[in-house]
Amino acid sequence: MSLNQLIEKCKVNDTKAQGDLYKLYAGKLFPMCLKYSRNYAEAEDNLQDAFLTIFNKIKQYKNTGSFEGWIKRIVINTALQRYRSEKVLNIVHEDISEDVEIDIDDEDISLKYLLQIIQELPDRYRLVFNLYVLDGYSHKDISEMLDITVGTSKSNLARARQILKQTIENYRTQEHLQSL
Amino acid sequence: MSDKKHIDRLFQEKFKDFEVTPDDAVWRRIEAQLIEKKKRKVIPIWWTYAGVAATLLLLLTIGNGYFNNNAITEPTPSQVVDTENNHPLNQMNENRNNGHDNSINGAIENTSAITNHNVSEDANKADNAPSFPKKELNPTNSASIANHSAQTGMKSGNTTESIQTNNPHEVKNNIQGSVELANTSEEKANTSSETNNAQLDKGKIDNLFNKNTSNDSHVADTQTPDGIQNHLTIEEAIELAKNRNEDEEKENINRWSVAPNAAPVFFNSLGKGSSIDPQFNSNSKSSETNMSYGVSASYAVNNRVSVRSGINKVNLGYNTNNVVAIRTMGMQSSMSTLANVKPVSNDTPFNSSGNELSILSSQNFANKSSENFVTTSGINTSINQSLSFIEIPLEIKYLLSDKKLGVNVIGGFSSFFLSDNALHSTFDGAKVFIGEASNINKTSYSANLGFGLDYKVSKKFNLNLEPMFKYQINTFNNTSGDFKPYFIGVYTGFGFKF
Repeated sequence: MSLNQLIEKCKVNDTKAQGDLYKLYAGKLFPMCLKYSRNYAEAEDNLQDAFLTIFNKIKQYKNTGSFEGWIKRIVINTALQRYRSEKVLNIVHEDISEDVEIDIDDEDISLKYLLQIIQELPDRYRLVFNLYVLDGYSHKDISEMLDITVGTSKSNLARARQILKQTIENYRTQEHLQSL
Repeated sequence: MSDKKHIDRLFQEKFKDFEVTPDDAVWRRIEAQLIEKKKRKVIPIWWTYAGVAATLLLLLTIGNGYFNNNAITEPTPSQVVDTENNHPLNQMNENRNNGHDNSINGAIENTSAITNHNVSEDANKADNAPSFPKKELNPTNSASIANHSAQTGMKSGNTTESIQTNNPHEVKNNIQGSVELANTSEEKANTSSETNNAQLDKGKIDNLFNKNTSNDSHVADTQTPDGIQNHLTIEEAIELAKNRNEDEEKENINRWSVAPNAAPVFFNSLGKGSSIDPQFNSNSKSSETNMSYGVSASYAVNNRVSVRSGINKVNLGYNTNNVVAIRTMGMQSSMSTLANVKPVSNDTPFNSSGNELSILSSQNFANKSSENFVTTSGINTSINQSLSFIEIPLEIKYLLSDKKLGVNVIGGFSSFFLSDNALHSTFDGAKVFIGEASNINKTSYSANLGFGLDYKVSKKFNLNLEPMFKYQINTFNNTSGDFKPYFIGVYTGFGFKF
């Protein structure tokens, strides 16, 4: 069955088609939920909410543009919505200058570890870092999505990079010390 | 060794092909919610139709006049009335209605409304009543002040005494106006202190009216009750709203309730037809008003939905008019048997004379009138069929509006167990037993639809009025014509929550 047929069946609430669509995309969408969330349980909640939104709004999908892009936007919106309702986005503006030195040694660092340190970032830094670095949104897009200024978005990103770099370096130092 | 790399690149490369399958439990939860949503979609549509049908039914059953009188006037006191003071004051209004013209009645209604709202006012204000800033010459305001002092009297013994001593003095100034009052007061002069306070109020108000009669602005002021009521409602609106919310929250705890009920029931058929014999298909049928009584228990699933069951004894009956009953002497008539009637056995002593009662529709009789009959018991007799059942309903009640006067839609079904059944011919009030209908099922069902009004007297106690339409299924075998029996009952009762 082609993707379009599957989508059409989902539009008429065919339960089997909905299950197939879930199987097709859960593997790709769950990592997105993981990186935008604080932990595994919250990611599961986001995935659940996102799929319910997808099945609810699939009638509005008009086969223009990629379906994967459409559902990814829903996942991101679902994640952002959670923090909007929790009102954690109103961090006081921090004026941090553009990053100076954020290069890092490309040694073997596990994906699991990277995911963990992203999840440990403060909510807004995590969102901005994900949106800009991993999902390719511009600072202007981000400023609209999060209802912040472009400047705030930039400084949040810089701060996120610094924290991540620092965390990785500390981790390495510790490993190095342990190996001695 | 490793290269230096921009931190963004590091993350981008690592996350590029990151795929991970979530736990199966996630899909199960999604699926459960999708199914629940489908179910939820079905129910509201059903309730919409039920609501429309029940509303139509209410209009048909109770009739326009009754509907206007009750449904519109009942909610009004529910908005204003709040405290136990209401009772004596209402009595006072009733007493007043006898002796005064309409404009004055209007004024009293206002003052009673004002009184209820001002219960929580400070006692000091009442003490200062003479210098109260709002006093001016507006009669309704001064009425509220008068009631203030009376209310304060209820609260504190000291002020009551002072008011009581002041009050007779004021009343004396207006003896003429108080004569009627005195009469009504005496009638109501019980020993309870509430009544005393009501008398105080009467004195104050009566006093006020006498002032007003010399004041030209009286008529205009008393004829604008709406504005005054609104003003006071706004002042107290928040408090009232809070009280209501608290009430609702507490009610949630009381999931179970028991309600004894009684109802007049009207039995009839939707189509033309007969349950007795095909020859009566076109005869006119008239419904008999019978009673149903019983008790129901309900369980509130949530704030809006409750499920209930119970047991009711239902008597139903209807008359088939324009029949002729003939007593044939000593001979068997071919017309003596009705299709669905098991006649009284000839062995019974009552019928041992060999008389056979034949019953015909009057039209049928006209056709066959050439035959010889010994006696006729009359023309335009009617056949009365009476049935009685034990009814076990299972119904769902959905709350549409949860105010002091709650509005519900009710739907469900009932099982009926036949307990008694008889046919009589009736002529000039004399009933002759014909026999039992042979075509009534021992067990039958009905689809129920109705509309409920609950008037909450207190958190635990309410009064119900529920017009119900019950369409009977499988009650009769072998009916002729288009016989679709139903009955309408207007159930009234009271409910206790616990």
